[in-house]
Amino acid sequence: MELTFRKRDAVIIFNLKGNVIGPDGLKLREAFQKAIKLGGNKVRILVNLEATGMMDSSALGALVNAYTNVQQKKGRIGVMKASPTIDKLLQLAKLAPLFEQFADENAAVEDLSA
Amino acid sequence: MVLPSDVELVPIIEAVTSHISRDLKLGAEASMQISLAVIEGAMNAIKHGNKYDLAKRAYFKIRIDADRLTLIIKDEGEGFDPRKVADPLEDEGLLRDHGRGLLMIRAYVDEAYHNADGTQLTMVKYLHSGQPGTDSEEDQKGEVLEL
Repeated sequence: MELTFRKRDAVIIFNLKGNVIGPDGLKLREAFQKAIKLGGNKVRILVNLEATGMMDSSALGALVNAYTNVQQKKGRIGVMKASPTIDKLLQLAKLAPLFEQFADENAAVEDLSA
Repeated sequence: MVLPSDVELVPIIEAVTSHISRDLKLGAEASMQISLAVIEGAMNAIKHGNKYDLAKRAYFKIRIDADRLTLIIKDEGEGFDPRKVADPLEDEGLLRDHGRGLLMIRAYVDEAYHNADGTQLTMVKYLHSGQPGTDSEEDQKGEVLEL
């Protein structure tokens, strides 16, 4: 997994590249925690999954952990361009309703910044 | 294949499994499902079975038959009762940040079961749609790979 994150307007954008499997889940969780701390109250996070291949349960756990922490800060978290496989996984785990879904970055940033 | 209980090594198992899926000319979705099932099984063996104890090993075997792929993962832990694992789809489990491995395994392979003490997981993926036929003598000679 390659992980980068940057800030655009009020939104912290995570770009995940490659498979998010095995030890990556813990790295992702730590990165989310760092970003949420930096983002302060009402933190806004967008996870770009366009270049993400497989995602395992540890990665799902990191997403859920991020969701919970963002909720505590009265913030918002969304995902962008999830592949059909990841979308199915979110549905399987009944997690899809937790994450706002976006088709492109501009729309996501505009919406999450509002 | 025998590995120490280090999650950093799990991608190796995934790479081997992925290679076998390619050799068997499985489709992209089936290959990904098999890989994810193996990753989840390996992570469970290392985390929950061996509790990250590097002195303990996780053992992987793959058996290829005409109609199915069988993946066996064994750990050196104390075992567990899979029936007592909390359901991550129940309301109180939805926001838990762990505990979805077995859910994924059961969704991605056609059969998944543990031995009596819970230290060995067997996963079966049918190589053709539908239930496999009764094993013929020929089928039972399938190739066992000691990974």
